[in-house]
Amino acid sequence: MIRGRRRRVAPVAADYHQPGTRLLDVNDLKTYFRTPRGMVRAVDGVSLTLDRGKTLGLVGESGCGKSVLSRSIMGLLPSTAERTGEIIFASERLDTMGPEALRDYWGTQLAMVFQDPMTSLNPVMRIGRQITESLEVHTDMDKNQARDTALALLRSVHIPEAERRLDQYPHELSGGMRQRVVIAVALACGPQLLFADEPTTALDVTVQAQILDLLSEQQRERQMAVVLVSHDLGVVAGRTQEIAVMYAGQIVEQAPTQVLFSEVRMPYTEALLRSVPRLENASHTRLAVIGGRPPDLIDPPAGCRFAARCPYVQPRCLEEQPPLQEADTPGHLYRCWYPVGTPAGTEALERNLAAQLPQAEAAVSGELAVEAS
Amino acid sequence: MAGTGTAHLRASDDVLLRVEHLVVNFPGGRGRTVSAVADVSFDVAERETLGLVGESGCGKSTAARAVLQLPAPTSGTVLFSGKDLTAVRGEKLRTQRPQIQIVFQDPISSLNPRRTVGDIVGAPLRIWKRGTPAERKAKVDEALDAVGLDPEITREKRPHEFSGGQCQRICIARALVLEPKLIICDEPVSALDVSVQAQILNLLEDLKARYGLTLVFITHDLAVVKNVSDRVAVMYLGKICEIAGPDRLYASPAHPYTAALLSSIPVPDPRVTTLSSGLVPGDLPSPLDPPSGCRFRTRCPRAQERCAVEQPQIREVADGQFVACHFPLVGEVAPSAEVQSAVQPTSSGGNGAGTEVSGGDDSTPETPSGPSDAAVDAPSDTPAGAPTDASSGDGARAG
Repeated sequence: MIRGRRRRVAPVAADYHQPGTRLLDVNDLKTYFRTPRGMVRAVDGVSLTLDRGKTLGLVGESGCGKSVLSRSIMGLLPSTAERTGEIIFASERLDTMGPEALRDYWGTQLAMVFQDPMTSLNPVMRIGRQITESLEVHTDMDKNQARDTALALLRSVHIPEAERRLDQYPHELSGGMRQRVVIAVALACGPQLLFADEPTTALDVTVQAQILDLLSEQQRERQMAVVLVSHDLGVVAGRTQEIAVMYAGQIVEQAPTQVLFSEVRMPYTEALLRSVPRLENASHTRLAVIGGRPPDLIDPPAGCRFAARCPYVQPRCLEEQPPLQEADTPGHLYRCWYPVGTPAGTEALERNLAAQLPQAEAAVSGELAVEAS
Repeated sequence: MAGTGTAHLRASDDVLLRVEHLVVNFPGGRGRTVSAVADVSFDVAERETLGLVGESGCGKSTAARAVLQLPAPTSGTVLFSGKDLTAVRGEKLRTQRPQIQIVFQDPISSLNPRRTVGDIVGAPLRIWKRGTPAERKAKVDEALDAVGLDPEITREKRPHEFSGGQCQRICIARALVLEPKLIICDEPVSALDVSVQAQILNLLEDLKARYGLTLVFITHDLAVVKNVSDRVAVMYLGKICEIAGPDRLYASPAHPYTAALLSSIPVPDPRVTTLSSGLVPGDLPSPLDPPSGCRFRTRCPRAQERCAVEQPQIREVADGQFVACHFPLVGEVAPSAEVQSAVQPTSSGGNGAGTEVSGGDDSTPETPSGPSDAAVDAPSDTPAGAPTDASSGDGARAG
């Protein structure tokens, strides 16, 4: 497709291939979208870091900004978006680069696996060509070498009869196989950082397990850093070293995976965990619900953004936005005035229960909170 | 897996829906047929929730829609309150329809965007000319109130003004307004966020208790189905594999497919490691050309030659637990009991195709060493998913 272009690989210092090195550093990233109603603050002041070979899970409800965050880091935003803040990838500032410079990073350094394998492949291009396209643009390979590499890639993502698949079209493959192809395309040029944006949401549960296994296998082999975006806490629990929970465009809790599940501090995380139906519960177990819905991101509330739905809410939460503060465990950050599991939090919940605050009662008993529209 | 038979059907009087030998075929082009639902039987007692689980393409939605005669099944009977819906047509069938309602997966696309919510929920009443306009309005308000929406606020609004969860509530209100006996919920929470999903699941439980509803709940999410069901039927490629009470099914699955499904579920707890891979290698075979014998055998770690020849019949392996498998994980076969003679059962199993259940009982002490070998071999030969055809293990197994 793009013939005769110079080889496009972004130069990256050799020491970035060492495991454990800081690969990504995001500082106060804000992505706002211009809409007729006003500015939508889709990502509002997110900072995070990621080391080589590690996996970060990004969790939250739809509309919380988790996909926009990964697209902001990639630089894949529509023209209505305004992005501020620092994105440092392997000591290079990505945020100041234009699309032309970023092209050298896409594919070779940063790659993305999208949610829907049906729509992220070109339906009128053979599987082989979709993989070799980026190889021919970014590397010195000629056609035959690229084809051999594509074949090896298809085999490495465990596609049976890889040779035959090269000449097939996407519609001839099942959903799981297509997602394997999408992963092969993303891995073709050996990226350092892979964004997997809900890679298994469109797939069946047995296929989901296979794809997640494949991703972690490839990650280990390539010492790649992965950002795993998902709304499913079950998916991220077993596959990440660190989890960031997002709510209304902000990170509200971030911790090493083990710590997040054992020492929840943010009421939102607790509510999310409680609302998931679990296999170990007997059937007809009442589920805890989170009443209401996320705030309007055009005009977010002055205080804590979760306050209107929070079982622990106190007057202070409505007025003052809590900062992202560090818990006792190092690396555990949360954004709450009355954190779960602390005396202040317990007291706040008891006060709300005594005052018969609906969301507090709903959180405890799982009773239906009547939604006002 | 290829579950046929009716051993799991109950004889009692309070069975509201009884589906027997349901077959749904679609034309597959070039004279072939897609065998979407192949000889499925199930029953639902009054005020019970039956969960139908399975991967996409296993025929769970098709089976449920065949109950509604949308489209009518190729063969089989659907007894609803004792009346056979497959035997009636036209107006007679239409008069049965208010009794059975359906809630679809995508709440936004199943509501007409140009109508107000009051119109949408009131439409079934208008069509059936129930009551005066004032009575209808009262009925609509009651239904909206029952699903947790304020009628005063919502009545004049249109679907786009609501979130996905609220739209699903509107769909449920519309299904409720005719006071049906049976509601079929086809993946009602799959398109919703976890927090909203919990609200809708709780709502369905409340409504079931309040109106004495019977539910058929279709989903691919095993955790959801466990939460809502009184009985769970696991489907695979148009057949029922296993049917049991949820607590029993999840504690000790009898069918290898159920076990594989359960172990694939990601658990929201980092201390639990899912040992998923290898259990079900590969994709669903095509329903255009389903495997012979047991339909699950091409992905089954315990498959034997017998599975390729003989279709397993549904039988009871434990109290209230029915399974269609020659070598179930629960019941008379002790999977860990390793016995020497491995050649014997394969030949006798193949010959004794006619002896069905009793043959299964006789041959069981010898068989286990076979399946455990196959379990080791099959996944290593076909890493993570050679599908049906041309995989190395297949020739031997297909016999």
